[in-house]
Amino acid sequence: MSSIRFAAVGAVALTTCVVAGASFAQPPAPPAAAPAAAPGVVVAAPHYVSIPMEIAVNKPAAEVWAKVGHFCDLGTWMRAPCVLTGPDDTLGTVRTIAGRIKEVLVGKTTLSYTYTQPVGSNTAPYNLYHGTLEAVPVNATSSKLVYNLVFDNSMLADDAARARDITSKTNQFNGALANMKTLAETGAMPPAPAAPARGGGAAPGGAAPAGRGG
Amino acid sequence: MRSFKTTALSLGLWLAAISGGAALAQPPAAPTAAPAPAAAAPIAPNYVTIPMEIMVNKPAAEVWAKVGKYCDIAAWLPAVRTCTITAGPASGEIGSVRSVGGEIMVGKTALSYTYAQRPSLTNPAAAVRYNFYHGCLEAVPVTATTSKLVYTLMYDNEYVAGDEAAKAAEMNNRRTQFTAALGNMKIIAEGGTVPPAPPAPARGGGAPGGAPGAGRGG
Repeated sequence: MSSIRFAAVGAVALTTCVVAGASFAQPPAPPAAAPAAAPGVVVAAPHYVSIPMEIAVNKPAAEVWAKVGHFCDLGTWMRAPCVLTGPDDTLGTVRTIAGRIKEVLVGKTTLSYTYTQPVGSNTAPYNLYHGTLEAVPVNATSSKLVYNLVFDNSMLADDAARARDITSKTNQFNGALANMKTLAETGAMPPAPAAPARGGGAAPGGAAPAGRGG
Repeated sequence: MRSFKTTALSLGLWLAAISGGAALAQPPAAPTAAPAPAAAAPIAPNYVTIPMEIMVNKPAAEVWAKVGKYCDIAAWLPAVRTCTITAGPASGEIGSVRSVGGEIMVGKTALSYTYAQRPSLTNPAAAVRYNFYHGCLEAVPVTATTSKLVYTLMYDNEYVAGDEAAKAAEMNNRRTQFTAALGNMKIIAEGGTVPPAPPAPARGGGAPGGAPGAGRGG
């Protein structure tokens, strides 16, 4: 049996953004069972991590979702060009971010959606990157936006690289949540921050280190 | 059921009908824009969806409490006899992996979850034929006393052998299986007892899971 490990990040609820988690493992595969790997697809021992994040919004959930919940609304709150292939907000719809990152809508409810990146389109090797965005009602006038990433980071070089990648993604998506909050509460995006020096920015997308997706 | 296939052309999108479900194909990336491809990237995935639902005479929260835990699948999917959490949170959260198809939970809300099968970890030949299989199960409130269960499968059927008729038959096979599962969920949620599962079909007679001919999942 292949080894599958899982770690959710952090364990403490913060004021606006939450990172929580634990770590689990099952015994590693005996060497004799390991096949010759096909680079890019087969991962001998996946290590799944999740990054849960959330932010409170002073608007009702339905109103929030109407402003940030279409599949290509990412183009606004992530400040990246987004183009849809296929009917808007329908399972199987593909969004292309910044002209190169493809993400497919694979799950949807009234106030949430789940997406992933196809094999070979953005990552090498494939890291099973998925994201879920949801508007959760809190009361009649407020809500929270919850963003959860889950992916396999076993292909990164070491624990330090994995920690940097998680921190990078956490910062990126907490920024996106803050943008969504402002957009939902005021109807407009906050001013764009100054662009970071080339090479100094985080890798916001699924792929590490190449991807820049949702 | 809606049925269409989408391909991006230089002048826009065109739609054409095929049978059995909603199908979306994305075009190959332009050579100048594509990153270095990983192995086994499908050239033209053909995403299909199979949406199914059933009414339930119970409130959504009550329904979800009875059928919505990640390993409840063993109670309502006829082809599945047992289910255990093999990795990740034992309580069934995002990142949990269940023994059924090695499926990992990738999305969750109060009354829904979405799961995925990943490329084979042990069989490179199968891994390169990864079909991107995803499922989403949700309890949707209708009234204070009723709800509906919605189950949607979504995957890439380009690797299903045969012509369009064969692909349609494969989808119908899944639809039949998961419609039966929804029927079982309704029975459970309304307080009844699921009848014994019929004998397992002969090998090769139906692949209820994700991978063509290989998977046995939800």
